[in-house]
This record gives sequence, C-alpha cells and structure tokens, in this order.
Amino acid sequence: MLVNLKEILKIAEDGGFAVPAFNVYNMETVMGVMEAAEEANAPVIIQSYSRLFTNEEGYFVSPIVLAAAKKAKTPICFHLDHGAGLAEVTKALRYGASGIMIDKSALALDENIVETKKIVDMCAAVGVPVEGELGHIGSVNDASMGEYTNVEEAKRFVEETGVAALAVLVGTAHGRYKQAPVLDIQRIEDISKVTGIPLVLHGGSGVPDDQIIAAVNAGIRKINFGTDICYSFLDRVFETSRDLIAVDLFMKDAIKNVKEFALSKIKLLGAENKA
Amino acid sequence: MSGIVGIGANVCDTLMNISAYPAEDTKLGAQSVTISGGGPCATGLAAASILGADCAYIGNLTEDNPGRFLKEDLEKYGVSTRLIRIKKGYTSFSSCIWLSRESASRTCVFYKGDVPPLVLDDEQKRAIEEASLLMIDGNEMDAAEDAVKIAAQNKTKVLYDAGGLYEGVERLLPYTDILIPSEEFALGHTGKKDAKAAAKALFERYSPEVVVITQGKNGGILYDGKEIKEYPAFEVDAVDTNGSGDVFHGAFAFSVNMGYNYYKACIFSSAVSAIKCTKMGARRAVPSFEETVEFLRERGINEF
Repeated sequence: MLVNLKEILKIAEDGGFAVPAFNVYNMETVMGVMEAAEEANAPVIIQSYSRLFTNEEGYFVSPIVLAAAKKAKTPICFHLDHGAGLAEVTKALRYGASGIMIDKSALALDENIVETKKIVDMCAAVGVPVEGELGHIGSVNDASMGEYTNVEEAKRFVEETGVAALAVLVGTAHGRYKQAPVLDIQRIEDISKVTGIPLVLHGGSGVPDDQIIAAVNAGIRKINFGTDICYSFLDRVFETSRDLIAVDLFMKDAIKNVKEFALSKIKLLGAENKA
Repeated sequence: MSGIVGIGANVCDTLMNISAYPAEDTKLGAQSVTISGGGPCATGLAAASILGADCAYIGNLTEDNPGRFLKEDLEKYGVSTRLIRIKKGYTSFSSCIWLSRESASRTCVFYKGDVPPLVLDDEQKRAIEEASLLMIDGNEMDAAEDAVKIAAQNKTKVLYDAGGLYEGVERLLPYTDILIPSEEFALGHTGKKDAKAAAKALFERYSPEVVVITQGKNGGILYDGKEIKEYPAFEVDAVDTNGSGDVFHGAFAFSVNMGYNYYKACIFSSAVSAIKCTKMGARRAVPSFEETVEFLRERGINEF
C-alpha cells in the first residue's frame, strides 16, 4: 500500500532497520524493485530524481509507481529525491508523491533552514512529510568532500524546520567510488541522539556491507541506492542480445537484474519480512 | 466529456431592491425581487457555458424548492447537471440579499443549509480526469482536495477562485495551476501590503502557472514568474456588479480552454465582466462570445 515518508520510516525505527530507497527511471526499474519488495515482504521507498520533475518524465513515471504502490502488499513510499526547488516539489506533489526531499544543503545554514521550512510548511498542509539535507553530499568526482554534518547544527536544523528525516554528510558521496569510503559512525550516533529523527544516508552504492550495517545500528533509517540500480539495469541491457527485437522480451533480464540488486540491499539493510 | 468541471458553492439568492435600509422591527416594501443562482463556482460555470464551453457542475443538491431551482438554473444556461447528486430530505444553501438604492449597500443574510458534503463517486472522478480544467472556489473543501489531486495527476488544469480566506485553503493551493485570488485574499494570505508583492509571494510559495489578482473596477494584475502585467477594467455604466468576479473567473476558464495566453485571458474576462455589470443579474447578464468580441472591437482591441 502507498504510505508516506513518516509512516515508512516509523516502521524502520520500530524495527531497528533501514528502508532502502531505490531510484527509478522507467517502468522496468519500478517492476524490478516492486518484485523484490513483494518477494522479500519488505517496505521500500521508490524515489525519482528531481530532474525527472524538471522535465516531463515524472508525469509518465509517477502513475506507474502509484499504480504499483497502491496494489502492493507491502508499504511503499513514493518519494522525490533531491528536490531542487519549489517547481520540482509542487510537481512531485501534484503527481502523487508521498514523500518530498528538499535539498538546500549548498546554502549556508540559516538560508538552508529558511528555504527548507517553506517547503515543510507547504507540504505539511497537504500531509506530505519532508526530508532535508544538512552537509552537502557531493559527487565522487568532486575535488574534496565538504565538511561533515555538524551535530549541533543538525539539532538546530531539525528543530527549526520540522523535517521528518535528515540526510547527513558522514563520508558518502554520489556516484561510484574509486576507493571504498569510511563512514563516521560516531557522528551518525551523535546526530541521531540529539535530533531524535530518522537519518538518511545518500550515496549508498558501493559502501562496504559492514559499514552499512554499522550505520544502520547507529541510527540511519533510509539508505539511497541511485547509481548501482542504474548499473544493475544498464549492465544487463548492454549484455542482452541484439537479436531480441520485442522490447518487452529484451527488458526481461534487465528487470530481473534490478530485482536481484534490490533484493540484496533489502536483505543487507534488515528490511526483509518487515512489512 | 466536459471541457470544464467545477466544485464549489451553488446558492439560491433572493435579491430584494429596496429604497433604503429599514429600521429594525419595521416593515418595508421592496421595489422588485429576483431569485437567482449564485455562488462563485456555479456562476463561473454558467458564464463559461454561455460563452461556449462545455461545462458540468459536480455537487450535491437537495430536492426542496431552492434545490430544484438551482438545478434548473444551471440547465437553463447549458451547464450539464449529470454530475449533480440529489440528496433527499435536506435544506438548500440560500440567501436573502437587500440592495439599498439610497446607500448603494448590499446586505446579505445566508443559511448554509444541511446538504451533506460532497464525496466524489467514480463517475465524478472520471469526469475530473477527462476534463481540461477544474474550477474550485474553496467550498466543499474535502471533495475539492480529492479533486485537485486527481486533476494534478491527469494534467487537468486547476483554476482556483480564491475569494475568501477559508480555513484549509493551504490544502488546495499547492495543486493550483491558475490562481485567481481577490486582493483581500492575496494580501490577507501573504501578509504583504500591496498586490504586486502579494502576487509574487503567492507565486513563489505555491508555483502555479500564473497568479491573477482581481481588483474590481481598477482591473487587476497578473504574474507568471517573469513579469507583473496590469490589465484594465473597462468603463461601463454599471447597474449591477453582483457576481461580476464569479463571471470573470468563468470567462477566464473559457479563455484558457480557447488557448488564449494568460494576459489575453485577462483582457477577455475583464470585458465579459464589464458587460455583465451593465445588466441586472449575475448569470442572466453574461454576454455571448460574439457580444464580447464586438465590445472589445469597439474599444480598438481586435485580436479576438
């Protein structure tokens, strides 16, 4: 069933695990994730990147996600990933998102609070919880990593914005790592303790399993897998025989690969049989 | 399939023309009486229908005299009543309006009635999915909230006639494509001191396609995220301004359906509203499309 961000993170909080958040781009990636959720009896977050709402893909992908979520036996949240601004947020709301992320982490703290709170207030009126970000989580291609999320600033950010979840910078980056990152587990624990809300780890692709588990134990309740789900889809597409002309048949193995990838992360995060 | 569907107030108004406002506990004979359909959304739909759009009203009515009148009145102006649901044994929303000639005042006493709130059924939901535009006015809040979500997911444009600062309007505003507030609403909701600042604030808060603030006989302004433009009000010998705002919204919905850009829609709607004010009644005074085009041509506006 379709649930909102707060509801799905509450399940994770109560169960002491993290909900995997998989980025989807088309019907096939939605199918792969949904089949995994169903088989593992797991709650999952299906999210779409902000660009899909800047452009028109969001209009076409959203009904697929919603139709799948409403019929699902397990709790599914449809979330906007890295909402760039008001235009993307309102489009995601209009197309049925049940969770919103607003990413103003590139701004200074005070401005980040003001801009995030505007979105939290607007979304609160229509019953949609918001994820904010503090500590700008960059790309693996950036020359250097930004400053990690400050514990006291996180406390103030959460109190003043009213976000339902907080993405923190604790050593991860977006993309495929050249060498495995080392997460600041103590910082996660400290931020979790002072904020009391579910924390989110972006850039989950490629983080060693033992660090993922330690992060979950420290208070991470949502982990994003954007890059690796793309690879799980594309790798198989490039391997599939070009003799297969019917696109549905061509896609079958790619869907299967996405499903297998999603299943592995559901299990890693402890979300299996937690629906 | 309807081009325009609407959810909102549909009120039976009894308008009494009186020479002067009476003292309390006295009797006074009126000069004339008119019973007419009112309510922003229903009157807007009637206006859009008279201009030539396919329109349907979505709502509950009851079978008392005002209720029957309201249904027949919509039919008279060509608004489809197939999406109206009749609830038996209730009392309609009605009002008595005293129009004093001496002070040019308008005194309204209304009873909201007890017709159950609208809950959208499958046929009504489908009509919203298939429509090109949904009009709402802040009444029937719960159904309107469901409706705007359906509209948004189906690219049915939402036109919100925000006249009053009703409780819970924030539930509708994020789903609005065309936001047309009164100046009172715009200033009250944003806390800004002038309409231009309020238009920008509303745009930046809710990301509609356009904000149009109506300022009665002073015309109004529109803001589409790029620039503020002013549109004029046309000078006419007004005999009845009652419902002119509702008619503006209906004409705007018609204009959007015609594919006019938003500035052109403002000009056209302003003309329709001005012509309406030259005759008595809200719905019955709405001009035809041809009359409006002629009115604009006479004033040197030839683009319609």
